[in-house]
Amino acid sequence: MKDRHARLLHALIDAVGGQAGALEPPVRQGLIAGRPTSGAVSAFAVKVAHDSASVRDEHVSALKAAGVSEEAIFEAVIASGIGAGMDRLRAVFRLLGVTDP
Amino acid sequence: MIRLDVVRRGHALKHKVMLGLGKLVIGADPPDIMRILFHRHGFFGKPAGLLTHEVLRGASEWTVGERELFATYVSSKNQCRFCTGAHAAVAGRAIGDGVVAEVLATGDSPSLSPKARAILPFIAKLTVEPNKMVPADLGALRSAGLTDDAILDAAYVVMLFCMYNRIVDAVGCEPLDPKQIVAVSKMLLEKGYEL
Repeated sequence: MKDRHARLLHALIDAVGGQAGALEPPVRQGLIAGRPTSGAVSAFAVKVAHDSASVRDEHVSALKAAGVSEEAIFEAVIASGIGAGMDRLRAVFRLLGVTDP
Repeated sequence: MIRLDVVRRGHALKHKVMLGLGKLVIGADPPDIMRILFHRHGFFGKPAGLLTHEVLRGASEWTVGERELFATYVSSKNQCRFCTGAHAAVAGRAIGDGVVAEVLATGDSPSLSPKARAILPFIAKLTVEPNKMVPADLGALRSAGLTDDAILDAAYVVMLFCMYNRIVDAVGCEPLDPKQIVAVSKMLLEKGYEL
């Protein structure tokens, strides 16, 4: 079936996964794809994806204290949020036979 | 409280002006999510806004009120107070606060269309247990006459709000106060999500 929203979905994924930023694009692309790389930022991103209601100030403070920039944290949050959304969309793509972007 | 200074204060002049104007229009601080969307606008806020507007306001077999209800229901399942409060108010303006409250309390409402009633359990499962979705989950939807397009449109609402819920939680957005809710829900229903 045709996915009417594919163009704008791709635009979002390409912007967050592909633009220059604080995190290398493959790190952000991994979070969007649900395949986080190793490291403190990715561990935080996994927490965001699976249990965001439990994120506290101290989780962010710890990353900053470890030398992670605020822009890198921002990018990790955005990419992991998209990844969590894509988990749901991919499940329905599979049921309906839509090609995964 | 927003946990990242770059999100709190790091905006281009154009968006600083828009945040200031928003404060004048609302009569209170703009919702914290505006600061997320305007920070490096082309990185996330712009493309996310375009997709969100198309999914929630574009052509669909679902009414705007139904799609806002789905957004509210997803946010409630994710225990996101920020998005639940904001979108419950938008949905309430479109289909009635009582219907929204009933769905949030029970997962159903006899006031809804049969198709909307059929897809709410699917939305709940997809939100909470996406890895357990199986072809049999489509059975009740097919029986209710739902098309692939209608199912996919609802899935996009789930995708977007599972995304937004996590982002606003992690960044630390404060739930809207009553004054913000009145102004923001009116604006979102009338203008949509393109920024």
